[in-house]
Amino acid sequence: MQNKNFSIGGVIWGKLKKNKLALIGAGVVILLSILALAAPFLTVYSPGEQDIGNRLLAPSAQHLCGTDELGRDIFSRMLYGARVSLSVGFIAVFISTFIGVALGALAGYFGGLLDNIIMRIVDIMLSIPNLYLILMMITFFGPSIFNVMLIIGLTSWMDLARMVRAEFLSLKHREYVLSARVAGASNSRIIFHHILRNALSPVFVSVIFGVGGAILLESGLSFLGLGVQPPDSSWGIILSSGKDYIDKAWWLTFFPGLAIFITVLSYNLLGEGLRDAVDPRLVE
Amino acid sequence: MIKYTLKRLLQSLPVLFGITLITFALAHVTPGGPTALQSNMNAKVSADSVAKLRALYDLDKPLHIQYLKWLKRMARLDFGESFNDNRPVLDKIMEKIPNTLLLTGLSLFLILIIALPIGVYSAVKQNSIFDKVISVFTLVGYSMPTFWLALLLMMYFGVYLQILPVSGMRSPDAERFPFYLKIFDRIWHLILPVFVSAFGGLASLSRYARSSMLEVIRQDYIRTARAKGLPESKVIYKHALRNALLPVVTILGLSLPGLISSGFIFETIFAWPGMGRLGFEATMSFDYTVVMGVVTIGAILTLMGNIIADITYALVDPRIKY
Amino acid sequence: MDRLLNIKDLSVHFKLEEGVSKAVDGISLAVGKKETVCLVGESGSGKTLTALAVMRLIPRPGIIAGGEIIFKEADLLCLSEEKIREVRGAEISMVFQEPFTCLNPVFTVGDQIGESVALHIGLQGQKKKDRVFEVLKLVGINEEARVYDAYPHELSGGMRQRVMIAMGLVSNPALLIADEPTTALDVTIQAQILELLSTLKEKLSLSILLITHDLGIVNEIGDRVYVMYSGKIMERGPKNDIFTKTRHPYTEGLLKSVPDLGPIKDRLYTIPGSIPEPFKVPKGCRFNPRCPYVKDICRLQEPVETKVSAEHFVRCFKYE
Repeated sequence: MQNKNFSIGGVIWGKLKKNKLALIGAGVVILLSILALAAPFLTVYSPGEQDIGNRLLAPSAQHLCGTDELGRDIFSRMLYGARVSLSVGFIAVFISTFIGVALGALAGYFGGLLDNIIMRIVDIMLSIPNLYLILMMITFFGPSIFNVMLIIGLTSWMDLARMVRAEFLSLKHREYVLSARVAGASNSRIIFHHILRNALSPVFVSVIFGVGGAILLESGLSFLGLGVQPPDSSWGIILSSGKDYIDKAWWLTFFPGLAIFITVLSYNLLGEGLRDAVDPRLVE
Repeated sequence: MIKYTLKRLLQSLPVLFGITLITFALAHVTPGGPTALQSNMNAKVSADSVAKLRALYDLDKPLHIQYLKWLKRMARLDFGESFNDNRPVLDKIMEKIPNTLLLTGLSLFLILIIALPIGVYSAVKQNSIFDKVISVFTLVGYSMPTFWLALLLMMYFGVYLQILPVSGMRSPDAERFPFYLKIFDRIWHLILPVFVSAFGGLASLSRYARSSMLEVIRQDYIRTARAKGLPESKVIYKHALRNALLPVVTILGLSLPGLISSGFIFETIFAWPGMGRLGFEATMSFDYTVVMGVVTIGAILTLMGNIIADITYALVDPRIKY
Repeated sequence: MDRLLNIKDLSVHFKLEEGVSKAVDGISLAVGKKETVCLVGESGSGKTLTALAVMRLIPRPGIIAGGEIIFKEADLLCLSEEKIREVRGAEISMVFQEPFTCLNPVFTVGDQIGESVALHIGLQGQKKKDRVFEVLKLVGINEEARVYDAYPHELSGGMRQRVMIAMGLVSNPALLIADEPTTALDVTIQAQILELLSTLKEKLSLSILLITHDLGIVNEIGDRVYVMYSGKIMERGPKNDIFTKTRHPYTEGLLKSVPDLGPIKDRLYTIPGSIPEPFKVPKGCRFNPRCPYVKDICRLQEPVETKVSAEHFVRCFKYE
């Protein structure tokens, strides 16, 4: 089994290798993570360092992306902001993946009433416009980094739950699962050992897409003042101050938005490449 | 047909029911329950608000009574009064809905007339330059933070070129304009918000139309149509298109929540006085009743959109029995 | 013999990453007037592609790499796209294997047959409808008014196949190509459709090119038989010669694996192995890995066609 999984991974890598765009995406994703981790070594200015004398400076050799309305270096703020944006993305997706996989697996494996209840919850959640739901939760919980992670996680697990459920429905009647059951394997062992590991690759693909989506959502919310709160800084926060200076300082809007765009694009490219590599139905 | 419509309406009842349950539960899972809001959140939440919230949820009654009362009010769309100006929430929402529907409807229309031809054509010319350009465009569309796009367009057209207004839905002195100028003024104010809110949908619908068309072109009945001696244009635009468009109807219905959702960001950026902006402002000022109302009405609009999509599907697909 | 269709040295190639696949590798085949010719072989042998080549409907990335397809004195491969469309569905009609998926689900039967009527004989309105009714009756559909307004999913498989055949008959074609027309149907319905084809052949002076893997069907309605394997014709001749004076080991294998022909055996015979991937055709005779009589020469050289009798030919070293 171990060996077989290994070779499946090999096949996927083989296909992914040929997809240049996906490789570029993967490269940028890795590079961004390194940049975010190494932020203190790459920046001259501290992200919070105000310098009123040098406010709203255009990009130059001293300030690669210019300075903001308080004279802070935007490049530094963006590198440190990457830490916030990326970690919100990862943790939110961790939460939604956990919920989605758990509920999808329960619904698909046990079926019956439990399946019915879970799928109705999914229907209801999907019929409320996502941002409205988030808006309502933020009204009650208040905006903060922690709440944004939690709320994005709590409102984006539904598609994954549907997918995992479908995967379980099709896998649970396979021979190897039946033989495991005949051999007396417990439900939890069947779920985790026999089915889930075979459903892993689509889950992984959805995690990659999810991170991009969560970063996009977080930046939108922070931009509106509903997400990360100052003095914490994410790309969305920098953008929101840019909005007030669109007539004076284009760089305040341009660079952080570009960072979001490139990050999300890279995750999507990687996700697409992985999906095509994983999907056995694609013959091209 | 009437029977199918009724059935479909009945099916949506549990969802409506669930929405009331979520809005009700949310207030109670807030750390400490709704009455604790004041202490653990924000000084903006006044003692007055807490009293109003208590009344809204009937907090002095047992939980099941609270919920039954809540349900009863929701059934009448009675969301109470706004904390800010004491006007009935429903009135406040209803006066904004036309603006939101105008924006959403126009975006939907724009998405349809642009995305469908693009998607279909790139499927027909699979792997052509056109197809490749479009596939890059759809990826960009998926990944674009649309609020950033909105800012860039505002900067370029509004600040740099100064040819398009960046906010609101009418010029300050539009009251004095003659009728035709008022219309023109409105269209002028609609250009940026409609384009931006259609942008994301363009990418997903054109991609969907493309894959749907590719799927259909492979079908046996397309080979039959060719074997009949039909010219390729008829094979594609009569036999294939009709089949490829069927699932698109459903997708349009499904894309409605996203469109209404994202409308809330664009309404805020462009200061468009719609339901989304109302919800946003309510959130910022902790006007709970208005937030509840906006969320519930948003969900109902979405449900209605889905039902209309399902019924349309049943009308256009002869295989659905109703 | 009066030849209606004469395929000479036809090749269909697919250019794939793994190399060029010669799915149809230089075959010749003729169909005479009022004759039923059967093209027999396992799936993957290139039978359907041969038929699609006649219609000039080879799917991408396939191309017709060489040969001639002479139909009524014109080479179909040289016709312009417009000219070939006037042949398709008018002079040569094709009926496919899957009646469930071959009709467009969103148009009524009347629409779909009517479209052919309008296209090929230019009738409109009531006259068009009359002609549709006429062909529906011709294929043995008695409730033509109901079927006219029905959508394909409202009809049974046999009924749909009749509709497909009717659609091919609107402008009195000279040749009907039927690609496994009964494979997807129940046995009783199969018999009805075969009977219908025989009746139509007599009534309309039709020539039929029937593609099948089922020698039982060949036995029932075939006049002459071509046995195809991996893109080449292995044996050809009049039906009786093929059945009683079988020469090629592959034909022999096919006959032995038909359940209701020949003496009762303990277990049904199957030809060992499977048809080669089209881009991994073995050297020498392409049947050699599965042949019970294989000799050294079969692995080195490709056999040529040898005459058995006046109209009976075989491609095998046993007879060279």
